[in-house]
Amino acid sequence: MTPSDVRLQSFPPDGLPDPFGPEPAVIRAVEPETPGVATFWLELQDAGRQAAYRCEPGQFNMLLVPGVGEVPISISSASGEQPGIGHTIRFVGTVTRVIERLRPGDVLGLRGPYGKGWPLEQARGQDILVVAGGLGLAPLRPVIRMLLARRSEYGRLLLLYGARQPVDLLYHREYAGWEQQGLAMLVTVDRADATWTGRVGVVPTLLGRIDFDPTRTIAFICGPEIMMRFTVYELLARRLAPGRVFLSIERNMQCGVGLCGRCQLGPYFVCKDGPVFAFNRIGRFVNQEHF
Amino acid sequence: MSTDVPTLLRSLAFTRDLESANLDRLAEIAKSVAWQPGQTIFREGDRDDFLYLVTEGHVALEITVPPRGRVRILTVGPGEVFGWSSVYYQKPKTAGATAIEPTRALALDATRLRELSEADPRFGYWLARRLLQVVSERLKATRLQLLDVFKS
Amino acid sequence: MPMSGGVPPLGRTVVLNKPDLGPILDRLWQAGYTVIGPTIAQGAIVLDEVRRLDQLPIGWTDEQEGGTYRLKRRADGAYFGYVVGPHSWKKYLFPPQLSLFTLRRTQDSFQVQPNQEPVPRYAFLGARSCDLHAIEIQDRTFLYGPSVDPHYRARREGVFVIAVNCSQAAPTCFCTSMQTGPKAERGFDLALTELPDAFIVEVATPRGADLLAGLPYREATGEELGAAARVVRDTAASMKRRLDTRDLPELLYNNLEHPRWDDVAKRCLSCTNCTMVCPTCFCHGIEDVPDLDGQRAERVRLWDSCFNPAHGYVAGGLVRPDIRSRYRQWLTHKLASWIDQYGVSGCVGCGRCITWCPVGIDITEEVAAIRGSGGHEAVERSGAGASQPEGSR
Repeated sequence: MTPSDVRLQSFPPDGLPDPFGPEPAVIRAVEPETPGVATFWLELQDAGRQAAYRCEPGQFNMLLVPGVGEVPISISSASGEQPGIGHTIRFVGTVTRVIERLRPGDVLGLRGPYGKGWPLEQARGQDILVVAGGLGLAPLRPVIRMLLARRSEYGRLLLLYGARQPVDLLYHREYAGWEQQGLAMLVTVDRADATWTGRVGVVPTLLGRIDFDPTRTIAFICGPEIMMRFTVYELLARRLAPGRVFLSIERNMQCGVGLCGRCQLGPYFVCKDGPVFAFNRIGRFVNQEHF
Repeated sequence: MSTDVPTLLRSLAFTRDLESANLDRLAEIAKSVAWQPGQTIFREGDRDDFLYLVTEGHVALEITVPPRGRVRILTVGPGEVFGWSSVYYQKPKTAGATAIEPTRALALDATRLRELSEADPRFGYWLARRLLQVVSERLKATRLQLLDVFKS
Repeated sequence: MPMSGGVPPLGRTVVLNKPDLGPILDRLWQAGYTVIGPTIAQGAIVLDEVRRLDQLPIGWTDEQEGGTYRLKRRADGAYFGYVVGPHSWKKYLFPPQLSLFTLRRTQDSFQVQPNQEPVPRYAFLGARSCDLHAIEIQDRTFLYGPSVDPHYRARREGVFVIAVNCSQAAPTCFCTSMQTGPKAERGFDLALTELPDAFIVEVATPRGADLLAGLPYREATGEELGAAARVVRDTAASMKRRLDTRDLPELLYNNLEHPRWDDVAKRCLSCTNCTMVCPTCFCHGIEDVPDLDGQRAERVRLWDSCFNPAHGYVAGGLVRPDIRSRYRQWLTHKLASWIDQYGVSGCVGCGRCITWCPVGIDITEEVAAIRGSGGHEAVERSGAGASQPEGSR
């Protein structure tokens, strides 16, 4: 018997991999970052699969603790970086609190990479303004590494980064190296005592201290939604076109592949259409309260 | 960097749209000042009668909160302003200011600024608008601080 | 001209005596199909396995309105004299609870063991046009979307469909507005139109034709074809509810702060009924079910609903913390963003969400209220004698 004849298009073939199936990944190293945050470096147990693993800055993986659950975590390493695939994790939920107790040699489930990352190709030849808040630096770290690896292909590179307190600044061991390679950095914290000699004030206040050319600048922004909103207001007021402003959006990503419907933002599935979006595509929805 | 007051004044974003005659009048009431890191500019409770335009370095605005000690509320850098309340009020300072780097600024005599504003309301309006912009930016930043957006 | 005995040619329409549906059922079971069809349980016409004709709700009908569903005896012995009930075929193609795979701990790793349960081969008996459209809509999500769901695929592939053209509309039906019925146009092997004493059968596929082989069918006369066409025409004409679909995505996107959302939020209980009975809603979650010794954990997929607060949970809070935002999400997804996502509306006009809403919230009425004061002028349509729902102009 032949199958029912009406199809939108040819029926998909059998034997496709289960999009929900994780692969075992070994924790190679755990690097404490800030209070309640550490970077887990993972390697797929299958050496061939690990060697073939590629990701774009801004993508994420789903990490699974068998019997506990699965969480989306942005990839904080560049493709091929050692000692593995980096995931900077804040221990706040059921799953991440279990991950907190894991050590090198332990095994997690991993599937990914998923989503669309930062438009590094479109950004070629432009000045890049990176604005990050708190843990929002994690998905931007691979961007910074890739921009610096191809420093000559970009114009000015400027990072504005803010965290709650000085102890919350991520990756501070890497700042000197980034600056040496040609990244200008302004760092600020929301609160500090008198031992902190750096800047104090929320991230958007840093925008008042910089000049940029709106005709040749592309902004990459990641942080708490309110911080991103205020940053976008300021950038648009200074005539940066909405199509030049890119944000990484957080939603409830469960399947990672546009099936489960839980990460919707208007017409988009954040997991597959994002998490990075140009502001001209999502401004209307992201600024809508509780949408 | 030049320490010539009129040149410094002209180099600041704060005075970008001010006509030359008024720039000259501002230059007359401005003096160049410098502090070493850790040096107190004014303390909370002091009376200080200057509007400061930072040209180099950084200044921290702080409030003492027992028993936490001095809490840094905001830092002010090149092109930015502090001490704005002196222009309108003759009240004790509600925050202290400390240089955290080798810092230079132009100090404008607040009494003279008031006199200039009253004599020439157009200039007064320009100044009020500029300072209102500063205050509104501060308010916005303070709201975000209050929201404590990074708290997990 | 009698055709009985052989295999009817494709595309032909034949006449079958009603009791001959019995042998068709038997043949489907013999061919290895699990036949699902309408049957009565718990005071409603639901979908379940049907082995014998007497399990069908022959001689029964349903009375439906917003928040109301009641079974009633018919004066005649119609086989399909009712519309859709609380179930839809999605529960077979996209089961409410499905074990995806089991992770088994090994010495220094884990293994993924696929769910080994055999996937039934289904035959759907009595599928209505709106529901066939709903299946096509879910195909776009699970088969032709960004990734293929192998579990849906396995259930969907061999489905045999015997459609039934609706001979009546419930007051909650509005498929004519959504252009999804009442006549089944595609997506079936056989389609039945019920006349008082026979079925008029459209033969759409070779396997549908094979199923009729040897049964005492005959070619339909022009008069019988006319009678069958009249059945669906009359059903269409009797449809009371309407949904004006003009510019719907923009209408809703432009009215995300319309006061009507506050109004509906006061009535909506956020009970999730509408999403459970909706034949296209596909949101789901995946949960872990560990066994007690910690050696195995099952990954189970469960239907979810955008009316559950946790549907949009992100670290630190809920994306949609109140009923207003959750109802708005459901309605704008169904009627606006679905079109952006899949090129078709997510609504087929089956009316289930209206009937099964405990407080009788009516999707057509909500849209009409927004359109009525949303800056888009509603243009009266020349519908086949149908009245406009309240508040639609």
